[in-house]
Amino acid sequence: MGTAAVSLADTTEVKWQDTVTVAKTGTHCVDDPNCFNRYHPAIPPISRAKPGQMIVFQTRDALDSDLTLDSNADDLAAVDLNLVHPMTGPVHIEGAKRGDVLAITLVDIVPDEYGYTVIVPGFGFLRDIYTEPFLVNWKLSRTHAVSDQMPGVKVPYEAFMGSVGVLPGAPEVKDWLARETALGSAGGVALPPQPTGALPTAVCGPEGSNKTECLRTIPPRENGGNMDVQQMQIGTTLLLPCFIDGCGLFVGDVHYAQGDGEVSGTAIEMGAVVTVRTEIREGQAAVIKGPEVEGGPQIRNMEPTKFYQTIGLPLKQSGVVPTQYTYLESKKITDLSNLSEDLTLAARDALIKMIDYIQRKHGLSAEQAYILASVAVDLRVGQVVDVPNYIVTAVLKEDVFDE
Amino acid sequence: MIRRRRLLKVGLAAAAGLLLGGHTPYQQWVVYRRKHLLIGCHKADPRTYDLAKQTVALLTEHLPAAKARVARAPDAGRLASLLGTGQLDVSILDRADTAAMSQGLGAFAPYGQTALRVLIPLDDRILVARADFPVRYAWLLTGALAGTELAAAPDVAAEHGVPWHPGSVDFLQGRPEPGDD
Repeated sequence: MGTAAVSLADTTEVKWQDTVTVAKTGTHCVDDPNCFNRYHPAIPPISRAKPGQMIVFQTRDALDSDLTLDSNADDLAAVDLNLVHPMTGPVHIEGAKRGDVLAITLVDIVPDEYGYTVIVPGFGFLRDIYTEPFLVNWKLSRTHAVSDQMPGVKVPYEAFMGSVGVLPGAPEVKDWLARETALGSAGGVALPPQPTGALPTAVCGPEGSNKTECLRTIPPRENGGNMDVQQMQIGTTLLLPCFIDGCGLFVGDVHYAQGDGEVSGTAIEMGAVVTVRTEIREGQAAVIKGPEVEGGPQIRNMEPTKFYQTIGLPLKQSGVVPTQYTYLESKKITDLSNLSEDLTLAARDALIKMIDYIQRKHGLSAEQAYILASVAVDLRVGQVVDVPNYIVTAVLKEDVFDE
Repeated sequence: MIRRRRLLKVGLAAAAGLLLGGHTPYQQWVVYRRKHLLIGCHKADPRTYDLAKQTVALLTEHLPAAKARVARAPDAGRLASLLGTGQLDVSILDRADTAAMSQGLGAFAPYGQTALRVLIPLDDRILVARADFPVRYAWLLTGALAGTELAAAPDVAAEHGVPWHPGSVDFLQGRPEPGDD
């Protein structure tokens, strides 16, 4: 009220929250003792929190990148992929035991001011079609994301944790490594432990104590991790079985917004400050064996006020093998033009039709349309009964266009 | 020079990726890096970016099989990381960074020593490669750039802080294109 030069305590000084902050320090994960990028029960907790306390995670972007608003595809080619995914934590939840369920309520996400969406060569749902790097830089606020590379588009703020999870126990590491090794041996996409660039170095690095067992962060598993499920909005509660005492809670790879499918391989990726609150549900891991989510009106609130929808069928050209099927080495699939009860092919069909629509109706390039689909198009299952043609649809949130 | 450059129309397919020993979470990236010869440069030295773009343009004209692309890192330290882990084979650096990176000194200490070889000086910067870059590819790259506006008359006797690549020396001393390593 007055003009005193000295600032006195005001309502800002009134506190009630009991908070534990897991701070971000250093330029990259490798510089930060609160950051790691592999999963193993031997990774020590860097902090402790009681159930009910607010836990504030200061997180890094998925690529642990140096990208900025003036970055372009040339910068993408120089990204150091050994740095993916930087996770903040793990935090020991006091009182939690193996066999309990940890309920993690997302309280808030404060976005960085910058985010990006990319086409990564060889990655993404249509990686056979989009083979060159492409980068869209986003200016972020708490309401919308806009981009000079995406004129006329405003993507609403619908942030969530792309990755959130708990550390696996020793039995889980053994089982998951075995099943992924078998898949890799069969030609599937399964990434074995890789000590190069692995953090923490003492556990997972080239001379680490458990270097041959540290799980990669790319696949989501029963412990959560890189799930990329956009409905996990602020206010929802994620349930995860606890595999070690204290659980080892971690958060990272936050998304400003994403379509169901994240089809280009990335959402609007960003660093962010994430606040969660936990609750222990004793013994519930006997029935909840993987991630499950409790929510309220969040799903309804994410629905568009107008939309355009394409309908995908499991059809393809005879003689062509979509990338997702190459490991099966099936002549039968090659020769067919219609696959049976196949959601992947139906999703591909719906997405390609949607990209065509966005180009035709809104004048974006193919790359822009693919990027937009990754952040504002939802792939949805229509039906899984009308054999042989299961349907997946692609739903564009038309609200993202300014006009 | 023109006679030699005609030879460059052949070969170097997949040159970029044959040396990729780097391990990436996204294995598919290797496909891209096998398809293209990435020319490293960095934001902290904008001159390297200008030269990288000019180099790619020249390679597209004289050595199209390389499918050259620019890869711009935020700083020379990131280039050391990429070169040192085999995620990148070729880069443009200034003389001081070339020497310091090869010895793992100063800002490059966290990455250790990175064995580099000179492919060709480009104006006031240097095009370098990992020491294990194949002799034939070095011969082809040097041949594609020598005699252009960026490298009018390279002198193989000149010192640049790290040794010349033997393939580059072969080209500049008039020896024929070597076979694959």
